[in-house]
Amino acid sequence: MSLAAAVQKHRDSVLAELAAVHDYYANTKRAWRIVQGMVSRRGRFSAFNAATGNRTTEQDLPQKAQLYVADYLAGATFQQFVSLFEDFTFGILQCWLLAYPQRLGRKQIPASIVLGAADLDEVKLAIVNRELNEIKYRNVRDWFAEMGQVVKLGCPTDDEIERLAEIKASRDVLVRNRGVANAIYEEKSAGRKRFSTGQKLEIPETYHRESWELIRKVVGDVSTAALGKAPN
Amino acid sequence: MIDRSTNASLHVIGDQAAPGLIMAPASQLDAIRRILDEHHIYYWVDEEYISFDGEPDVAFINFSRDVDPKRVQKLLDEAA
Repeated sequence: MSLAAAVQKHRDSVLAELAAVHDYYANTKRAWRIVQGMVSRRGRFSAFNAATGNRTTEQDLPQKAQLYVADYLAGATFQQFVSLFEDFTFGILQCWLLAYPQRLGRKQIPASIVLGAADLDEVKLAIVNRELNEIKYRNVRDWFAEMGQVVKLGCPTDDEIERLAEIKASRDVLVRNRGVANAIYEEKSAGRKRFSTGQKLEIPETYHRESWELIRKVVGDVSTAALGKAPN
Repeated sequence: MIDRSTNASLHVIGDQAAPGLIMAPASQLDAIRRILDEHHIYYWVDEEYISFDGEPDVAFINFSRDVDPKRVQKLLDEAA
């Protein structure tokens, strides 16, 4: 597969999944809203969860549903957006480095990678993935600095990178610190921080939507710029 | 404040464990916004309204976890 074809395929797959996750968010929220509206009007029920021993009735489901929509659902889909952003960024880098592996020519690798590989392509893939794994542990600004070393695309803008850094820092807090902002969040999000250390992070719908739109835009912009640089 | 579609008081759902929510006729959204804005209460409104059983559209007004639902309820009651 040519580099251009690989970039296009990767872009299309990430954009399709971004749309699918947002549809899941919108449809799941819609379902909960219908339940909240119906129950608050006339629904009466009682349900017992044998696993937790908790009983839910029409009295408490509407407010539990609000927790599920505003907290769990928004948080889970937001995390998926960020995972797709990461997958896209490292997928583009992988495409490029596999097409031009000479850039990694001075990297040292364990002999076991070479000895265990079936062919040269497998060795290249292992070397590229090792390099990408090292970059993944750095911050978002470094990811794009690294991308700029590999291929100069002229995007995303500095402002977009700052916003992406805050988005990624928010995701890390949700995954690693039970949603409570900490010093690492403040450092990673810098001037874009939305919360201070000790505060519980929230994902309001406007922020959720803007994050999705930004990631979608960056996927489109970076892909278009990459395709402009890739030989046909 | 009275819900014009049911003639019952508007109710703020929520407690310490769950963030607050108001389900209100979309036609009353501007009036509710004015109260919330006047008291600097942070909220956001769902992009989508829903109509139940052919009745007028319902808007969903969400509150930050930091907003006390009881405070909002008091403001709505006082606006009645």
